[in-house]
Amino acid sequence: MDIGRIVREVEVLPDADPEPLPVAEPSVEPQSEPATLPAGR
Amino acid sequence: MTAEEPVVGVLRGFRWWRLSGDGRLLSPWRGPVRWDPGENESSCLARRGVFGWKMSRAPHPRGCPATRCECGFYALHALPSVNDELDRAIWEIDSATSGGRHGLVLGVVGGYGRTLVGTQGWRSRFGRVLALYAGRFVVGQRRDVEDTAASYEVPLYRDLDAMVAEWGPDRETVESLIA
Repeated sequence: MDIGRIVREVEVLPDADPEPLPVAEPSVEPQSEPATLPAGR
Repeated sequence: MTAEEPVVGVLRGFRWWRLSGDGRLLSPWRGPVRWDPGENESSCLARRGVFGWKMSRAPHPRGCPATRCECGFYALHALPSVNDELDRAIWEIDSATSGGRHGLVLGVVGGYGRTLVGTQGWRSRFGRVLALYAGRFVVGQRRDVEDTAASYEVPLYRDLDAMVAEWGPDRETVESLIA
């Protein structure tokens, strides 16, 4: 992937006391047609 | 570019993985690099050799990622753009097809440690799978995506907006980093 022009170098320090992670919604799987595949793959 | 500076908290970004077929995620275009649940540490895979990808000949005095290399775990600040033109990049795939027959799945990755921030995304030393998305109408790899999300103990979304809202990069953080 292309991240573009690099503008900053950082040292990312994970928070020692992070906020609670969001809870996922239950996934719903409707019966439907498959999506179209991207061209060229 | 400014000198290396500390940032507290994990950066979040969007990226594609390839489904391994056995409940794991692989880096889709270089490697293959197999992602573990929890923390993953990147290594340099800058050159393609006869027997696979190899480290760059250029020194990496600060480790991965290096500014003069292409190494590190990649992520984008925004969802991959869709481009159907001939000049499209390989990752410019419609998000709605995530989990489809091409075997790729879109999700959110957390990056930390040494990180190079670009105008479109970042690459980092450490990466962690945070959330996955499978298109609502995609049926190609549905069971595989479900098994994979379960093995990584990450949420699987069928609603892209919901995943972006819950896990997407913080816009203020991104804007401050690329300002």
